[in-house]
Amino acid sequence: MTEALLKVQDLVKYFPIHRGVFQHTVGHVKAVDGISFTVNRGETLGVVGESGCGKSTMGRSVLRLIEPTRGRVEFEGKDVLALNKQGMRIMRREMQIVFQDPYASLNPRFTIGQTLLEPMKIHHLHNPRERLQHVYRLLDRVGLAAEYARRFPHEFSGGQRQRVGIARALAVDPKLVILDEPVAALDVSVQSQVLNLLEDLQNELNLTFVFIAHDLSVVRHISDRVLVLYLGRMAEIADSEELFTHPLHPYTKALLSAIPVPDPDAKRERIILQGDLPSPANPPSGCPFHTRCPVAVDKCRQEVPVWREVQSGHHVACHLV
Amino acid sequence: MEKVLEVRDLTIEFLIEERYHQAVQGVSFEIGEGETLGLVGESGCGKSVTSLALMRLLPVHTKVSGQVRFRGEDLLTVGEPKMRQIRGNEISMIFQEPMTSLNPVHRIGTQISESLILHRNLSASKARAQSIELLKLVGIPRAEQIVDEYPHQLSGGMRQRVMIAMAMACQPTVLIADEPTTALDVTIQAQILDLMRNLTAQNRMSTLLITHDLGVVAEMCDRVAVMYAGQIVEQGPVREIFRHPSHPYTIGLMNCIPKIAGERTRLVPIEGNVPSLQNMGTGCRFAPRCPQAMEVCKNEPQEYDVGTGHKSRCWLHAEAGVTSR
Amino acid sequence: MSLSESDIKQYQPFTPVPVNSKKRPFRSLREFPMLYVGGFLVLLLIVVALFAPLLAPHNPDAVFQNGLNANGTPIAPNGEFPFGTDSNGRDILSRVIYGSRVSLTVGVVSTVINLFIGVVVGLLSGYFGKWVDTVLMRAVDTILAFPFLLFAMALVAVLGPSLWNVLFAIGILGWGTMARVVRGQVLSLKEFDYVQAERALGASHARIMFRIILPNAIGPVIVLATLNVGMNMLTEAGLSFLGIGIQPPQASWGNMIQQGMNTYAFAPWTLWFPGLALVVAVLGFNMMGDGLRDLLDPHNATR
Repeated sequence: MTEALLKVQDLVKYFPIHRGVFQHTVGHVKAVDGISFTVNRGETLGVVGESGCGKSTMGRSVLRLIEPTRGRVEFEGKDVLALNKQGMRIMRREMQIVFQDPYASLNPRFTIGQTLLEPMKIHHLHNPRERLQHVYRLLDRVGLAAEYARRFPHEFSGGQRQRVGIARALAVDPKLVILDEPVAALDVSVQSQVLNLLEDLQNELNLTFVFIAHDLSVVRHISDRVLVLYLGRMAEIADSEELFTHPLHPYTKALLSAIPVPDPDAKRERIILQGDLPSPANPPSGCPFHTRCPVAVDKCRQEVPVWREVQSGHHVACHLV
Repeated sequence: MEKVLEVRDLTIEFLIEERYHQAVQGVSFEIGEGETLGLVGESGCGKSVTSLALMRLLPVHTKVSGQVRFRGEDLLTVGEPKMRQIRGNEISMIFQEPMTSLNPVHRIGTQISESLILHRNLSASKARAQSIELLKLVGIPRAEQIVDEYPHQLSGGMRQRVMIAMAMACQPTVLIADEPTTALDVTIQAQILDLMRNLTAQNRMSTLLITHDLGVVAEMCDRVAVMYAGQIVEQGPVREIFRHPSHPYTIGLMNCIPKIAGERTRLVPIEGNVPSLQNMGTGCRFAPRCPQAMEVCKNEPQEYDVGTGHKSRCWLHAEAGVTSR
Repeated sequence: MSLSESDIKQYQPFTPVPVNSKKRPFRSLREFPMLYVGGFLVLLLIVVALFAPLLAPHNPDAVFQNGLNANGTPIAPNGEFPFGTDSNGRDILSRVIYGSRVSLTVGVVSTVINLFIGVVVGLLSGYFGKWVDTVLMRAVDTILAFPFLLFAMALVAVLGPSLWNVLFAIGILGWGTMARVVRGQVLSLKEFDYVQAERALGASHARIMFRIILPNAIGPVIVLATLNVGMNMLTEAGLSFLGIGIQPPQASWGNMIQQGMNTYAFAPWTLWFPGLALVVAVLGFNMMGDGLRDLLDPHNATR
C-alpha cells in the first residue's frame, strides 16, 4: 500500500534580480517554476538535472530553508508553508537534510559529539544521559567509532564527514530526509560505502528519501522513481527502471546517452546536444528545452507543453510524445 | 608505434613538516604517437602531481627523480629556457577548472594569441586571425565576436573550449588533459569529449588524459594506467583492463561504481580510506584495504606481466615473472 | 549500548581529545616576528601600568623644589630625574609611567565598547539582511562619514572633559569599521551548510547567531580590535593634546606632549619621552594585530 508522505504542488521560487542605486527589481531568476510531485512513505525519489535546473533550490524550498514564492507543500496532510514559527520547529523534526559538501556542512569549532548533541539540545530531547547514549548509537549506526565524538571535523576524511552529516540528520528521528548531492564530492570507492549506508539506514529506519543528484548512474542505483528537471521545470517522471529503459522526453534521452559508460565495447548512440544551457533568468519561450532539442518543431517554440500521464506513473512534458 | 613520451621511475617527494614524503613513487609509462593514455585514480593518488612533473610545474621544495624522455631529451634535466620552448608549444595542458585557468582581465583573443606570438613569432594581427580560426575549430559560435570578449562572459563549457583552443594553438605533439570535463554537466561533457576525440585524431596528437571517471576512460583511451597511493598498480590496453582487470584495486573500483544499465545489485565498496602521505607503511600500499591480502603483501610487489602489455603490481601475479624494465 | 558512569563523565561535554602530533602550540619567533615583538611591547605596557606605583621613582604630581633650574627651565635627564623634569618641575619618568594607565584604560575599555556595539550591529545586519541591513548600514555610513576626531571633540565638549567621558565618546563613535567587518563575515558564513543545517534543525535565530556564526567570525574581529586599541590610544592623546581630554594635573601622554611643545626649544626631553611612549605603545598594538592576522590567516594554518 503506497501512502503519500510528501506532496508538492506547483512549487515556484523566483529570485529577484536587483539593479541600480535603488535596487529595483529588473527581473527574476526562475529557479523553480511549477514543480509538483508526490513522495510515498519508504520510497526514494531521485531528482536529476544539470546545473541551474533548480534541483537544490527545490529541496531547500520544501524545507523552507528558502521561502518559496508560491505553491503548496504537504507533509502527512499538513500544509508546511502555512505553519507558524512554532509549528515549523516541530515540523523540522520530521524532515531533515544532508548536504553536498562535507567540508562546509560541519561546524569547524564543534567536536563531532557536540555537532550530534546540537539537534537534541535544540529540540530538548532526552535527558543528558540519554543524549550521550543517543550520540553513540548514531555514530555506531553510521559506522563511526565512539571515540570520534571528541574529534574535530578537520581530522576526518570527506567520507567520514559525510557520515557525520547523515548522523546529524538522523538525530531527531526524521521521517523524510532530503539528500542534496550527498555523494557528489566523494571518491568512487567512498561513494559506494555511503550509498550502501543510506540503503541500510532506509531499510532499518523506514526512511523516505528525496535524493538530489546530477549523476544518473547513482540516481538509478538508489531511486525507486526518478524526476528529471530542466531549467526549473519538470521534464519527466517515472519508475526508475521505466525511465532508464524507456525514456520519453528528448532531454532525458540525451542525458542518458551522454553518460560515459565504463565499457569500451558498449554501443553508443550518442545524442550530442548543441549549445549551452539557457539562463534561468531568461528562459526560452514555449518548451524550455526547444533551443537544444534535436526534434523540436514550431509548436515547441510557442506553447508550453502540458504535463501529462502517458502510462501509469509515467508523466512527461513534451508535445511530441 | 613510435614512443613520443616515455616516463621512467618517476618519483616525486613533497616537503611536509620538515620531512620528505613520496607522493609519487616509481611511476613508469609511455605514450605512443596518436595514442591516448588514461591515468585513473581517486583524489590524492598522485595523478595530477605526475602531470605537473612532466611540465616541470611543481612548486619548489619538491624532489623529483627519474626520467621523462621526450624526443630523446630528458625533460627533468633540460634548462629552463629550453623547457619554456616546450611548454605550450610541444606539450600543452588543459586544466579542470576553466574559470581559474583563464586570466579574467585579458580578452579571449589576447590569451590565445600569446602563445602564437611567443612560439610562432606571429605578428599581433596574424595571431588574432589565427585565434579566430582556432575558436572556430573548437566549435565556438560567433568566433569573431567571442575573440574580443572576456572569460566571465562565457559559460563553463565555452571556457573549456577556449582552453582547448589555447592548448591546440601551436599544434602540440603531446596534450595533457587534467580532469578536463569534471567541472562540467554531462551533456556539455559529451560535447567536449567529442571535440577532444576529433581533434586528437585529426592531429595525431598523443594525449595523457587524467581522470577519476572510468566511463570517460573507456570512451577516450587506448591504454590505461591505474594509480593508487602514488604508484601505478595496473596498466594495459583499455579493453584488456575492462575485460580482465587483474589488480584487486582495479577490480574493486569497477565493482563499486553504480551501473547505468542491467540489474541493480548492491555495490561492493572498497573498505577503509586511502592512506595519507605521512603514513604510507611498507609493502603493498593497497594491502590494508585489499580483500585478498596475504602474508607476502608485507613486501613491496613489482610490476608483473599478466598479458600483452598488461602489467599488475600485485603478488597474486608474481608467478608470471617480474617484468623486464 | 550501555554506558558506565565513568564513560559518561569522561565524554560529558565532548571536549576535544588532545591530538598527539608534534604540533607546537607556540609557533616560532622566526615565523611570526611581528606577533612576538608586538606582544612583548603590549605586555611591557600592561606591566608598567599595573605596577606604576612600584616603578615610578616619584609622585607624578609632586612639584619638586629642585625640579627647575635657577632660571626656571626644566632640568635635563640626570640620576634623580632619569627623563628630566617638565616646566612645572615634575618628574617626567613618573608621569610617563602613570600616563600609561590612562592610555591603556582608554584604549582597552573604549575598544570593548566598540566591539560590543560593532559585533551586535554587524551580526544583526548581516544575519537578517533586508531592511535591518539597510537601516543599520546607513547608520554605519553616517558615523563613518564624520571625521572621527572632530566628532569625538564635539561630544567631549558637550559632556565635559574627563577620563570617563573621553572613553565613552571614543567607545560610542568608533565601532563603524568593526560592524562592517563582522557583517562581511556573517554574510559569507551564513551561506555555509553547517549554518543551513542548524536552520534545518529548527534552531532559533539567537542560537544560530551567537553559538554558531559568532565563534566562527571572531578571528578577523580580534585582529581589528587589537589594531583598534592602538588607534583609540592615539585619539585619546589627540583629545588631551587639544586640551579637551584628560585634564592637568592628571598625567596623560597627550597633555604631556602639549605641555612639552612650549618648552621643546630649550628642553626637548619634555616632548621626546611622552611622545616616545605613545609611539612604542601604539606600535606594539599594531604589530600584535598584524601578527595575529598572519597567525589566523588560513594559508598559514597547518591544521
